[in-house]
Amino acid sequence: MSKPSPKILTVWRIRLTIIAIIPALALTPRHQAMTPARAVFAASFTIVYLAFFLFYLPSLYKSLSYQIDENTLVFTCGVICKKMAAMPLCSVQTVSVTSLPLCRAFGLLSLRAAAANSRLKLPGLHKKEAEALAERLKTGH
Amino acid sequence: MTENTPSALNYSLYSKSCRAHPLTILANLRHVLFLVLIPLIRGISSALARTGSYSAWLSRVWTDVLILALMLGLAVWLWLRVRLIVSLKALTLITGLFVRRTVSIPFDKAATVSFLTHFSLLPFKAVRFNTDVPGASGRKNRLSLLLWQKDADEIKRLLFCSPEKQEPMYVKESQKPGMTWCANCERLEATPSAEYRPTAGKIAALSLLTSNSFSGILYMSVFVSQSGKILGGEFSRALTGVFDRAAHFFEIFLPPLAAAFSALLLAGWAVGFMRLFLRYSGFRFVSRSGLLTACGGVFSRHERHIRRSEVLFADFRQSFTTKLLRLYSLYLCAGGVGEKKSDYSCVILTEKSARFESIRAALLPEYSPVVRQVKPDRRCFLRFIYTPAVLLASVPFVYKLLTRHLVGFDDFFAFASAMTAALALWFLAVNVADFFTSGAAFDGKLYTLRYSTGFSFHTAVILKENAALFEIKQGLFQRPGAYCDLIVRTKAARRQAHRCRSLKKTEVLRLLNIS
Repeated sequence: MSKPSPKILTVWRIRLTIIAIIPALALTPRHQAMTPARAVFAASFTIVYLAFFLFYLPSLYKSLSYQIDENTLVFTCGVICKKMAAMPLCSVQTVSVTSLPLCRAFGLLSLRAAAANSRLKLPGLHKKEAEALAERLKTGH
Repeated sequence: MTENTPSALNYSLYSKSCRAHPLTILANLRHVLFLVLIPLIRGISSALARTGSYSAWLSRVWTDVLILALMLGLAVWLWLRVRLIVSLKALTLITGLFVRRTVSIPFDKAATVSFLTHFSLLPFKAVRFNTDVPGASGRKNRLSLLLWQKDADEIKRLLFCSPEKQEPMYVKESQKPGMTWCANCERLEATPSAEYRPTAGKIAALSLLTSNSFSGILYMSVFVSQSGKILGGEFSRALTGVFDRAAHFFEIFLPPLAAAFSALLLAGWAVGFMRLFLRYSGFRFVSRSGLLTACGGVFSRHERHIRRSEVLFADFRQSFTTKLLRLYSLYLCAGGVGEKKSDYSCVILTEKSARFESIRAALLPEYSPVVRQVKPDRRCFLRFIYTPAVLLASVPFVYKLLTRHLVGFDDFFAFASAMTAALALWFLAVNVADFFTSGAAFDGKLYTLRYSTGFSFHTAVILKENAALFEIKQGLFQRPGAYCDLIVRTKAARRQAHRCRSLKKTEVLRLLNIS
């Protein structure tokens, strides 16, 4: 089984931090005293953020892997609920390779394989890896 | 194409261009409906500034009349610009006024061709013609047009019959079906290899056992409210009076509120029963090489032709009642079939086990279910009964809570609790039966998945090439024992998933040939 690049973990952590900044700034009291309710909420928010940063995202990366053989593309992921998805190569209809600005900064791409009404997304691939995989999926072997 | 492909000189015999039915103008009005806002706003403002004379009124509303005429003109123009072309290669629909759109479906890509005659269209001799491709959802991948009956008949002749010594157009080229002479068309058509015509009793049994009260109630409520608007308050009051009398009848046995609710449920079920019965009356399912045809209906006549190779899966369906009675029904899913409640997706109605098997073998021999190879482990029994057991156990608590906080409805809550407990018990029985019957199998060509959803048991038989995605999911409590749920998705448009619960992961991986 192959694994995506470890840089994807860094990308997720940066994304998490960006998403967390806005509510954190909104919750920070400027000209008011810190009430007990605010303190509890801020503490909970910090704990949740750290839990995601230190435990959930690394576990998610650890669970990610993919494998392609002559017939099937297999992808595993999941922290609490483990999921393994197997897509027969003959049923793949479209293959797309995308990258968001943050992923591009780390040289990473995402590959999406779609069959009729089913989709698989493989994040955190290097360019050559993604292109080789896409080519293999397009040809069907 | 075959060696007898018609030359260019004879091409006109094998193509047909036709105009949509004029009723399409009414449908086209919806494209320009936004223009109604203008006369509406003007009408309101003119009503506010009333003057007495007719000419004064006309002088106020001439703009509205002009806009309404414009709307009608645009709808007529749109109708004139719609054309359907049926040729040897493809079905092509050209639509659009300012932005012209041509949708072309090659014959070898079309999964289903259907002709639907709703009873409201009969006086106008109009037929709804649809062509669907596999995985089609929404308007983009579907050709849909209202045609004259004679044009629809001509298209049917082009599609399913052919001039002498020609193969029917709507059959795969690689197949060489037997041909018989069709007296109606005066042409050759593919010979039916098997035909199924259920009796009225079978149709009634299907309607009886599968009617949905909820859809019946919805239908009734729309009917009553709309009839009140159209025919006046008296008619609406008369209809609701019928329900009142029915509720009073049940009051002898039940609390008043429960009686009204029961009357409503029963009426809804009766409406659902009649709708299903009328939909399947005169039902006929014909199997030809390369083509399956389902037709029937009394007031609304349906005729669907499904390319055999485009059938996504066959679903052998049972409810708990039919399981106890050993009755089976077969449903098909293809592009444009099995996606809506009004579809003719049931092709073999309720039949006894031995007769069902012989009919299925004659009509659809390729969909033969295989015995289970992977079954739920006995240690997973709790997973199956957990949800219904919790529902059943919570009924007395909810009853206590409601009677404590809402005084005066004790009788109704007692009745509702009893009904909910009965439903939960029924659900528990279904899940217990599911534990003993569910599982998965693969024989090299077909996947056979046995599972339950809600109150129904399913045996889905899926050809290997139609399986789009396999998911193996493990919840938190399944990981220690290495159990999993197997979810199989096909190319169906509805994102239908077939889920077998609590199977051994190693056995599933071996079944799917995944290392």
